[in-house]
Amino acid sequence: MDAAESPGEEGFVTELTNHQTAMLAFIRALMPGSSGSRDLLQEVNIILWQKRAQFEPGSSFKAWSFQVVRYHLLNHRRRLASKGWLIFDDDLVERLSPALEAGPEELETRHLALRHCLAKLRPKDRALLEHRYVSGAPLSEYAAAINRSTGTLKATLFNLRRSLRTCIERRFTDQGLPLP
Amino acid sequence: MNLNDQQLVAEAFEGTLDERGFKRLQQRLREDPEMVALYRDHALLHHSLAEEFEGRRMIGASPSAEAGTSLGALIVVGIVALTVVWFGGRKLWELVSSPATSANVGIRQTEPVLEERSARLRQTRVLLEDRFDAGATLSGRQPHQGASQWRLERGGPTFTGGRLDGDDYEAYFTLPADGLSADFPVLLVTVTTLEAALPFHTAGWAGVSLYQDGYEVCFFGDSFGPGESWSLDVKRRLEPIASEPPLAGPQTMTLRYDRRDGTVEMFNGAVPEGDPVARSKLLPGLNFDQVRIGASQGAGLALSLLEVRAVGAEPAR
Repeated sequence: MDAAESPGEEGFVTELTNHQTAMLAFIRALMPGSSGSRDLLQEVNIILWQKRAQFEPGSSFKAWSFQVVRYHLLNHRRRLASKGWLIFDDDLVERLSPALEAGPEELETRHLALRHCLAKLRPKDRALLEHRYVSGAPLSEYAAAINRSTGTLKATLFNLRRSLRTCIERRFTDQGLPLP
Repeated sequence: MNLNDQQLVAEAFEGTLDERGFKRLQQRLREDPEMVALYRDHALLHHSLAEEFEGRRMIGASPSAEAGTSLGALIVVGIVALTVVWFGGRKLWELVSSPATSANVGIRQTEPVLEERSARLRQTRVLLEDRFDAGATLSGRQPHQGASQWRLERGGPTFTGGRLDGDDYEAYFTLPADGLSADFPVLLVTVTTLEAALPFHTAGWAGVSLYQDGYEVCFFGDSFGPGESWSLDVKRRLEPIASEPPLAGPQTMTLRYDRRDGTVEMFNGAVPEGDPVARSKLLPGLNFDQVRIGASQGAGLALSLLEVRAVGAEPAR
């Protein structure tokens, strides 16, 4: 059989595709507040691709790929930290990782719940969140543009996240789904 | 959990935590499992928000610093493109969601005895039934069964020859909020199409969609693109799954969604029996709130029946 038609490699591509969001969420959790999560994901993608022969079809791709994420983070701590990114100490990465792992299905369920909750927000609150996650510009610029103080917007963001977390929890409960 | 902990975590994801604050965060995570749970919640919310809004930005809004500096997206595209070529033109979506040819598909139901069939019928809730046999306009139309009315948002399909026929139109019907539930976990959508004035199969689209919270989650009919077969589209950036065997033109088709495991299947006929002609997965636990019928410009959709039912007490497959 031509290597290009290997069923194992077909399965690998499927797994790699299905776990992109989960890996990104895991990286974001291990590097809070950093803007380089997507870049790190691509570095990990390349490593996974290079190591694809080591992946055993039928075994847990999530466990394998998340381990590669962890090792990559630990091995490149100095380089990543030099960019000003916050990275947990080695022992904490190991201790926290199991708790921070979320699978593709949980993430998608959470995302649908979030959309439901976002639809209930006032337009100006949605606009604030959109500014925070889309523009990349400092909050102070937005505060000046809408004639509010930066402190007020920070507090609003804090309250919005708290409301969204509560709403998502309620959505899970209403739908009879377990919240991990 | 005190307010300081919440502020600490919030600042971490805002990127405003200084070195001292970060040390404090790590210390709290080491000593308190509740803090870990709070941190996980925030992390996943932050991720979902980033995906939600960055996704929109990628569709058409302004670029951000992260996207602007990211070489990574190109690499993933490269890997995927390489893979598509590598697998000899076999599309990636075929690897992700195989149609009804795999071994785990098509567990054929045995013919139920009459009593069982009656029991099942008693456990069916009709959420919408419209036979489109006569009418003046679709806008505001009350179907034969259903607790809402049609809302025409585009175009003007007409009732002619015992059917609803039109192109370039979209009409929505709101389904009950409790349509699907633990007691009624299976949704069946049956549609009968007839020859339309314009072709059903075009480069555009024509068919039926299910919505939740304003988002199209699932479509079946003639999907966007050159294929000339009925197909099932579960969105999520995957390509539609063509029916196997290929089915074209006027048909009666039934979509079956099981909220217990997320399975979605398309059957040829008015009941979900025999092997599905296409099969995929959605999230479990969905509760669709709207159904849409419609067609793009130049594509025709003529309907003589649309029925949406919630079914209970059927064993999970």
